[in-house]
Amino acid sequence: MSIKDKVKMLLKEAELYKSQRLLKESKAKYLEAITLINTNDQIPNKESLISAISKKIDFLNTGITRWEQSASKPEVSPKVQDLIKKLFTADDSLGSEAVKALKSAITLAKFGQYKRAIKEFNNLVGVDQVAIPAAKNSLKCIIEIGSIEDALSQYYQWTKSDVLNEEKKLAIKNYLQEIMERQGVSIPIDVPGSKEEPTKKTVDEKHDHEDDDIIDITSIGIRFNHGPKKGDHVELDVSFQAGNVLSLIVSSNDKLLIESLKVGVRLDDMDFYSPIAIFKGSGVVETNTRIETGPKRGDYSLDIKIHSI
Amino acid sequence: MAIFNIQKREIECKIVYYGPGRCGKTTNLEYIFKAFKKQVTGEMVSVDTEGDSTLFFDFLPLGLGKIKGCDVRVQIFTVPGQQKYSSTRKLVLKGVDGIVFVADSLEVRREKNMLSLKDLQQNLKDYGLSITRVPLVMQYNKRDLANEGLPIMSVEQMERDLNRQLKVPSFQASAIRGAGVGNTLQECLKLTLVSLQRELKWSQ
Repeated sequence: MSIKDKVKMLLKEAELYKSQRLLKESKAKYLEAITLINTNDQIPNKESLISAISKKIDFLNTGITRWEQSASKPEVSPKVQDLIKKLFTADDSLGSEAVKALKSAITLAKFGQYKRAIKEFNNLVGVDQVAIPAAKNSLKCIIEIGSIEDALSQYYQWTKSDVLNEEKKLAIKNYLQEIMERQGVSIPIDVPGSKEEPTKKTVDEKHDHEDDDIIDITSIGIRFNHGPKKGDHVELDVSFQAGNVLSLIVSSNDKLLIESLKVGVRLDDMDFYSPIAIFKGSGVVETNTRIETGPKRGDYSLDIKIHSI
Repeated sequence: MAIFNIQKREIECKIVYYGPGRCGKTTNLEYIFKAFKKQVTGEMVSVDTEGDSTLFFDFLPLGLGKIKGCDVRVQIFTVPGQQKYSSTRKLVLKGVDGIVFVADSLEVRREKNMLSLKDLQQNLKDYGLSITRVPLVMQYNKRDLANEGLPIMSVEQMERDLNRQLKVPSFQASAIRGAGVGNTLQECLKLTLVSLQRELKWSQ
């Protein structure tokens, strides 16, 4: 094959890759063509040919840069957001409306739809059952698209409007304080309305504080070292998470597993699967209750408290 | 994770098209949407970028009618293939019942295919699933590009690269022309329903 034909072939390949939107592959072929032209004296009009190819490379570079700089999770239309909620929120026929709303707002946040998620979390801050996780998630999202100061401002809005009681204010304050410490920000946070600013942590508060560090767990793995399932490894989906307490449903068919997870049983060898990584840790079975109503009647609802992670 | 409504005798399962960016996952779905009108039960939704790449997912609902006394509905998704969308890809994969891995036949995409398969294996593992057990079908797409003069890999090489250990059913395809698309989907549905039937112990 002559040099001229080789160059023609490379340019054709580059064009075809471009038509496939394989921009980097296209650029590589154009660069190969330029190298070949440069090293050969038989090609007429070398300069103008190289200039034309360079323009094509510039065009590709613009596309590559635009692509690389584009957000990985941009805001989409409300219609698409509704679809995301519908398609990716775990079906929970047992949960209350508030829990369902919380879960669907979490789904929006996971897909980077922070503005709407914040709106939906904030609507739930006044609902007692989900107030704390809603407020924490709202603050997380605010920090994601704004700053710690924005989160603080939101916190003070809640405290002024009395939407939260003292206990909840304190829990959220502690959560925010923890985030700030991690980021090296030192702004004192007031708890408006509280008679005394706590200076020493009680044991319970300390545990609450630890709870705040728990990330979202999607499923767990349990390796049994004793009991009827000794030697087995089981994996279960988490149906709901409140701080460091994970709620799971176990089918009534799995009698041995239900027996192995009696209240108080300590699980020393656990895997906690989060969207970002797997963590090793331990936990304790807090509740093991037979479901009496609804489509999951007969199955068992279990709460496992994370002991260490 | 399939949803089985015992009272209504309805099963809803999830099929995910996985693979590297620009391999033709969306093109597969577009062809299915056009060619399987009878089974399509709603609009195809594509959430894509300005550059025509899938941003979050594509979605297509299908209804397969009654199978062993159950009304079977299928939700088909594609994942965004590019590296930067890794977290979204994992979210879309959650609860999957069957997978079509679309590999790009272009030689220049060989490494991307292997990285994407590795990524699939890791994401499944994170969800407690094994790539060797999940219903999986391989599709070697863009076979038509050989006619345009672009260097493509032989099927043997792609089998060696991607399917040597898995040994799952594989199909050659040209999704843009519809070739191989139906066969791939049918095989994936077959494997998925057999697996669900075994798992859910559903019968007439």
